[in-house]
This record gives sequence, structure tokens and C-alpha cells, in this order.
Amino acid sequence: MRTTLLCILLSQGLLLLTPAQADTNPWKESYRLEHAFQYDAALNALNGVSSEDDLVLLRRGWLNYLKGAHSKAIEFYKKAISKNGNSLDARLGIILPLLAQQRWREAELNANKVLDMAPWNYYAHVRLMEAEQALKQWQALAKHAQAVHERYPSDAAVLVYLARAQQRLGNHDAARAAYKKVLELLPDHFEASEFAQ
Amino acid sequence: MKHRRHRILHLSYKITVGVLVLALCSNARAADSPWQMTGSAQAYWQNYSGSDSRDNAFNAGYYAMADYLDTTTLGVAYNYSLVNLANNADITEHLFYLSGRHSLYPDALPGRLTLRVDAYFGKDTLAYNNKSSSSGGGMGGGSSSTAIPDETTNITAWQPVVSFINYSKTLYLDLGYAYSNYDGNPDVKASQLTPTFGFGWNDSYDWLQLRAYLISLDEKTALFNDDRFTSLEVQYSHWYPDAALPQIEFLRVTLLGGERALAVDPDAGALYSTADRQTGSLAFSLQWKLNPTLKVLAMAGYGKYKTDATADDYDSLLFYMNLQHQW
Repeated sequence: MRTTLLCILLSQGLLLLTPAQADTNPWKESYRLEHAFQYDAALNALNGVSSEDDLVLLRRGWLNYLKGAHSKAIEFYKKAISKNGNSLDARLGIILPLLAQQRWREAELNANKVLDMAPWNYYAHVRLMEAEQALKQWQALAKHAQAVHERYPSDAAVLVYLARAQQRLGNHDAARAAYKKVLELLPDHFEASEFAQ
Repeated sequence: MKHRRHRILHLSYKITVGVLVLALCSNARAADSPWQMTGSAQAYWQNYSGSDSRDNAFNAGYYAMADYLDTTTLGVAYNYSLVNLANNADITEHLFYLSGRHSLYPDALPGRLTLRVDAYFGKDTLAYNNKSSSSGGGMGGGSSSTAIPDETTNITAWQPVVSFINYSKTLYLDLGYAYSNYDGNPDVKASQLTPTFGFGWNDSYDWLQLRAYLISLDEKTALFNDDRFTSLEVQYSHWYPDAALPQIEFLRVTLLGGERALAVDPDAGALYSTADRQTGSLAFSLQWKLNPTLKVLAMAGYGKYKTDATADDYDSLLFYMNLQHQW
């Protein structure tokens, strides 16, 4: 009788442990914690995984970026790039904390390296345009945004960069035309609506 | 002869660093290389009003700067200055400038921390153009000719600065220290502290910067009646929104109150190697951006000075131009 009771208790205990066992998958746990905005915990969840693993480096870069530890994020992305210089993910990733730290030129450099390997990579172009805008390279931005718009005609973000550059260059008709397209894609777009008025 | 009493340095010279434009510019985008070069050529002309000893001054120089991405900057400059004195004498100065700075982005701070060290070294020479004086009156009696030797002062100065600017570019702080050594007759050593506070508003299109100059000399000499000088520099800048080029990039007004002598200006990269005390100044600057890589800065300034050794009070007008090119 005592043995039966013990077996029942043990089996119930194992059942109770089942959810915890699911959490022992470090990746699943890390993703769960990220969605709960617990970035430190999401990083800690990966402690058991090899720290030199490519994916872990990218993941740590991303989570540090999300938590605002931009220098730490850059450090991990740089490690990922040094392990695999062809990694577009790592180069696209490092641009984000660089932009956050207003390191525009370094962001430009990495975006251009992505574009050398993948000439019409959308994220690289958009992040490069962000740096060009910050550096007030309006002529370059206008030309760049126009070229990207031709490849991604339904993308409103690219049109906004195009409109801003044309506006700063004094080309108000071109700016108006770009903002008009933005409103066709996003009728409630605040900036485009303001310009239209 | 009274200039012989001014042993050291002599006139106010800014080493506003300049940069000779190298036409090596290419159409390659800066983003293609981690290095970005800036060069500028600069010159100023200065006249002195009400001075018993000084007529005017001229300065020309060039400055070259290399930026490695957003982290490291190396700079080198040379400046030549000529001051025409009232008694057929002049002062020439050759000054070299080296600068290095490195920026850090610690996650613990909401902005960028920059460590910088500037060094100046050079020489100025007081020369008498009429080097002989005769006695005896040409009467056949004894006559002699006495050459007045040039007087040389060797200049060295170094200035470490720690600065911080937040990411939203609304707050700036720095603390600079400068040590200057004028190896002449007499020798003078000056220590300087420059705590600085700046803040921006209107999306940082407007910016106000306050900088205190706290200068102390190692000892009193015949050149200065005091060995402590305190002044406050207030600088207001208005940046114009970006527009089609060419355009005015910024307007700046700089006001100095109090007294300073032998100051080292960390913004201008300037060394005021004069034995005079500056008792106030007002300057207006305007910078034009001609194209994405070419800028011109013009400045007009008025200053008041006092020479303790000769009780010479005078005013100064200065006109400055700088042409800057980036590639």
C-alpha cells in the first residue's frame, strides 16, 4: 500500500514537473522571456548554451540591443562577424545598435557591406537611409530612396525618406508627390497628412 | 626697446587651426572607407587700435584631420603668424599642433564620452629690423654699431579634455586642463582649467555653451601684475535647418567677460601666446555650406587687451576666414 502511494505521488510529481521540463529548452525559454520583455532573463536562459555558438552570439546581440545595452550588443555582433564574415544577419544586426548610438558612419559602412553581398536587401537599404538622413546627405538620400522605391514600390517607409530628402533639397513638388503616394499606402500617415495640408 | 621687456610671447595668436585643401578629393563616398579626411586652410588679419606697441598681425595655417569612423580622430596643423610692432620690429611664430581623440559609448551613460589630448609646440621670435644703432654722430670720433639680437621663446603646451554629450544632443559637459610652458626670458608656466557646460533647445538648432577659464601662472613676472586670471566665455549658436545648398549652416556669437592670459582654447585649437591679458571680446561667426563637402567660415571679432608691462591698453579688430573641405 505504501509502495503504491509512493508510486502515485512520484507520478504526480513527474506530471507537475512537465511544464518545467519544457522550459529547460533554453531557446524556447529565451524566446518566451523576450516576449515578456524580460531581456536579462532571456539572456540568462542561454547560459547553458555554448557561448561561441553563432546563433547564441546573434541572439545575445539582439537581446542586448533590445535591453538598451548597445555597446554590449555591438560586441556580440562583432564576434559573430569575426566568426563568419559572410553573415548578413550579423551585419544587419550590428547596424541597429550603431544607429542607436548615432555612430552613423560605422552604420553606413556595415550597411554597404551587406549591399555588396546582397544588393537589394531591404533592411540594409532602410538602415542605410536612416544613417544618410542623420548625416543630412540629402542628395544621396533622394537618389538612394528613389532607386529603392522602384524596387519596393509598395513600401511607405522608403517613400517617406524620399519625400523628406526632396523637401530638404527644396524640391517641393517631388516631396508632395512622394507624400501623396505614402497617403495612398497609409491614409492616416501623420507626417504625410501634415505635409498635404 | 620696451619690447625687450616683453620677453615672452608676444602677441595674441590664435592657433586656429586651419587646413589646406587638398584637391585629392574623390567622388568615392565616405561610407566606402572607414577613414574620412577633413582639411581646411585658414587665415586672419588683425589690427590694433590705441596700442603704443603693436600695429597689426597676420596668420595663416592649415589643418588636416582624419576620422576613423565615429570613434577616433587624429589631427595635425601648422600655423604661421607675423605681428608687426610699432618700433620697426616684428614677431614671427611657427606653431605645430597635434590632436588625438577617442570616443567611448559606455552602456552606463546616455551618451558619448570622448577623451582627447592636444599638444602644441613651436617657437616665436622677436626681431628688430633695424639691428644697428650708432653712436658718435659721424664726426670722425669713435663710432660703434650694436646689433640687437633676436629674442626667442620656445612654446610647448598640452591639453587633455574629457567631454560628454548625450545622444539627444541637448547636453554637453567637458573638463579640460592645459599646461603651457613658455621657455624664454623670463620663463612662464601656466596651468588652466576649463569646465564647460552646454545645452541645446529647439531640436538643438539653438545651442548655448558656457566655459570658464581658470588660469594660474607659476609665479608673478614682469609681464603680468597678477598670477590668477578668471573669465567666462558665453557662446550662442543657431543652426539653420537643412535646405538646398549652398546655405548658411550656422550663426554664432561669442562673448568673453573677465580676464584671461596665455589661454588655450580647446574649441578653436588656439593658443593665445601673448604676454597681454585679454579683458573682453565679442565675435560673430557665420558658416556657409557650399556643397556637401565644402564649407566656408567667416568671423569678425572685437577684443580688448591690456599689457601690464607697459600699461598699454588697446583694442583689436580681427577678421578670420576658414575654408574646409572633406573627402
